Amino acid sequence: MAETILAIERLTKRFGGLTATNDLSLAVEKGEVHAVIGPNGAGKTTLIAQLSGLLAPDSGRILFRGRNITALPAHARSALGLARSFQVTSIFLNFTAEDNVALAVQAHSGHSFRFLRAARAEAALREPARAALARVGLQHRANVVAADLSHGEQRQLEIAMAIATNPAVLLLDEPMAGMGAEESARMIEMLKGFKGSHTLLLIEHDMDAVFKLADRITVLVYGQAIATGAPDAIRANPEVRRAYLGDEA
Amino acid sequence: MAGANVTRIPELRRSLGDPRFVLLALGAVVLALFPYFGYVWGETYLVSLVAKMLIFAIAAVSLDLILGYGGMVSFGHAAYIGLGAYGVAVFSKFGIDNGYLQLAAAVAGSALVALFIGAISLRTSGVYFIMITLAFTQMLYYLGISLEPFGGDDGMNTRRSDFGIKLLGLNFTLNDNLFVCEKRLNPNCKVDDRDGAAIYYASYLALIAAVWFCRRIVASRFGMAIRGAMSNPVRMQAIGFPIYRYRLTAFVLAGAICGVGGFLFANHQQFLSPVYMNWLRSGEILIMVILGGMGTIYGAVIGAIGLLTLEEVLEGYVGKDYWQMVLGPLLVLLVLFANRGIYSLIPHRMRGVPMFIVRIGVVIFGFGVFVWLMSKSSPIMKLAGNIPHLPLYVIFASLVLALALRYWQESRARHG
Amino acid sequence: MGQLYFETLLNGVQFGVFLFLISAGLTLVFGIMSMVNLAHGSLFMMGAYAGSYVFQQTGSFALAVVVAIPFSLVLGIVLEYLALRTLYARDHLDQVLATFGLILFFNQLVLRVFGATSQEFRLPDAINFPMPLLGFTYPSYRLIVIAVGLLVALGLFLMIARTRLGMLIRAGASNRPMVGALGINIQMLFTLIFGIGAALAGLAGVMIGPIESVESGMGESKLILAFVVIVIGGIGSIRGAFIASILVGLVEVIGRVFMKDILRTFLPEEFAQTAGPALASMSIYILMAAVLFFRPQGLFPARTG
Repeated sequence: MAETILAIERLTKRFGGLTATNDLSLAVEKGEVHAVIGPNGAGKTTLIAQLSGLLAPDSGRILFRGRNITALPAHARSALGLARSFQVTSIFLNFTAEDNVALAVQAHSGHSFRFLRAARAEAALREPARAALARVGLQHRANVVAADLSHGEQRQLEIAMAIATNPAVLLLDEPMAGMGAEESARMIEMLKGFKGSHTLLLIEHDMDAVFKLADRITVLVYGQAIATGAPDAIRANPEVRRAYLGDEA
Repeated sequence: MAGANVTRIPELRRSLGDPRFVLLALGAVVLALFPYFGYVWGETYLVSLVAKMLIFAIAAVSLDLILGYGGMVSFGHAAYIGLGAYGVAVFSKFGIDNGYLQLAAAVAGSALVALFIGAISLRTSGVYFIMITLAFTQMLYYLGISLEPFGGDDGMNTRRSDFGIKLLGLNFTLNDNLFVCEKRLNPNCKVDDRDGAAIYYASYLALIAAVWFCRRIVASRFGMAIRGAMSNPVRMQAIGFPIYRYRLTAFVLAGAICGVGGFLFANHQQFLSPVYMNWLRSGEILIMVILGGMGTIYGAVIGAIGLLTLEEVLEGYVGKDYWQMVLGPLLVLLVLFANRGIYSLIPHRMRGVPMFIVRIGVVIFGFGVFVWLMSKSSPIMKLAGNIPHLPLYVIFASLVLALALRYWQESRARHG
Repeated sequence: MGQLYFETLLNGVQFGVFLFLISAGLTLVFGIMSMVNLAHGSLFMMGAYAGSYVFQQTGSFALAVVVAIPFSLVLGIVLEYLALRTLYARDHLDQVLATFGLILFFNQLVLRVFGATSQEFRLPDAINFPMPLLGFTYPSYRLIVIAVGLLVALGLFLMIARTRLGMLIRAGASNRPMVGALGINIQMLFTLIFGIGAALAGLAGVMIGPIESVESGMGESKLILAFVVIVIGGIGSIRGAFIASILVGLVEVIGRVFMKDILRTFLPEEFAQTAGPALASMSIYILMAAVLFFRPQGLFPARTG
């Protein structure tokens, strides 16, 4: 029996006259890779912002593991196990790759009111950081300053920071944005490796990646989910074809 | 927000292979021995001056903590020097000289006010933050002026703090007649040797402690949280840091450390004045941090010593009337061309040292020539007779030259 | 007593209008060019000095005003060209420090050239007499200042709402890169805006000069008030600057005059005597803190996103 780990109930968000999220309901099952696709302006990033806590919905609820997190601020959701990566790379440019991930680990290991002990010497921070870097394949670049990493490596670092704390659910906002074919292929392999151990809610435009990775797909148009189901069903769905995929898919 | 440029100064290595370490260690030793030589050569004024530099270095170091590592551009940091001084004055007024009480009051008072100011200011960011910290410090300044019991605008004399310690023949218990202070700030000065050393060493030790403490902080978890918040506040929130509380804590710490500086300053000057708190002084401390190199802690020390030395030299040679006129444009140039600070210019490997010495020599030589030209004994003066306002014309001539240079630069860029 | 209330109220409005003249330029420069210009107070001071110099040479107040305004305009443009243009791309910290250096420079400049005593600058009796108004009397010159200020405010509103330049200003305040991308000569727009701001500051300086003292450092206290005004009003908003300046002007003047009396109603006399002036001088900062507590972006922020 599939367990719902993240439930979105009748979520609504308006910006003035524009309804970005329109009475949206969605249930993400534990352990699955659930992709959200849709044309530009469908409200995908707004959805992620509301899920991660950076934006407050006008109405509706978000339930994480059965608990209502709608009013929780971003840092609290992160502490509960809901991590996110950003569409536009948002890392700490003047820190090394390992420092970046160690910060993510630090956020989850108690308070940071420690003033005298050197953070770089704390194994409790460095070990998980190195492990996360290894999982995304960046271990050999651990001591490179983030600003010096290639775009693809920075995207990988994004993911490393998100998984460093072993979150239950990963919200990934276009992880393959701006990547070339080779880098995308590597990213897809890496994300495949997360199946089972994490639940992924993935926003992506790269249809190739979506159909390779997703267990289920939800199609978002004008803030509403017009279809949810297995990839083949979605591909065949006539409404979806009309709205988004076009008839050649 | 400040700190957007990615500064990549290599970490200080505690070995003789790192010129910066050598320089800092040398500097620490020289400063430790300075009073002895100062008194031997009869330069008691110099000892007092260097003590003042050390005190402001403490203030600058505390500002670097929040500015260089936290990205909080506080234009109100001088307030804590004032508050620390008031910590002394409050007790001094009633004849209580107990140093421990005064120091406790200075630190607690500064920390509390920093808590209040920080709690409100840190809800904003960017230029709003700068302006609010500026406004708060002005508010305290006006408050100080209107406090008649403490002398209001004129300030009041304070007595030296008494810690009840006698060490190495240096008298750490003091009475009214023995002090070294600066005539510019306190017109009631009388000069005596020995107790200047007490203040000097107290300041020196406090500075060493402040530098040590701040360096530890920036490498700690707390420091990482602050630095992350400066680098990318949105991401910090997203990964789970409630950054407001960490920033506020850093702000309070910086205020408290600066309060110690204020306590020492009141002792140094034997005087309290609200002018310690005004925004021009805040600006000076800001300049010290930038001049030395922000985000390094050591840079703040270099900057404080550097700026105060610069001011002394200018005042001495260019005359007390013009030195700020030279300082002003120098500041503008500093910001435009050298805003990574002095610390970043010091080579981090031994092989860079000869070139560095050459560059320093050139700069000092050029500066010396400029100051000499502007001074009263300059050949321009002799050539042109006794033209009043001569340095003014020199400055204007350089401004016109700068204008012409800009114009030429721009037209080259257009047709280049 | 009525006379006191009447005078205080009008003084508050006059001070507010005067603050508006200084803040308008500041908020435009910050809103459009995203530049913090601490030297704005120096432009105000130079306007006052230019006016007083002309007055000392010619004895004519009118001539002083006529010269001071274009002088400030030109000074502003030269300053922008020479020193400030390179600062647009820099972060705010750099701008603060560089313009701080300019303050030091200008303060010392006037000190050297004109000396430390405040400058002689007087109003002709023809425009400075107690004028009967609504049953009370009020100095006619201050009424003129209020009138000029309101006219300028009106002029600015019309310019911003009706002219092409105004449209560019509004566009630039809410989305600067777009305006550049639209092919408008951004540099000329900036220089023009800066010049307007400088001219307004100079106008404020020459008008206020006769009723306050013209001396080195006179700009700084006004500058801080101006920043408080634009922070309260919302950076980049002329409307915000106007409302905030009147508000600040009233609070400041009424506070100074009546704070002791207000405190007297519920505090013992000695407290009222000492706390009165202290609280009065802090009143606008308390106002600012209060506004920012509820609206950290100010009352009418120009940037909506």
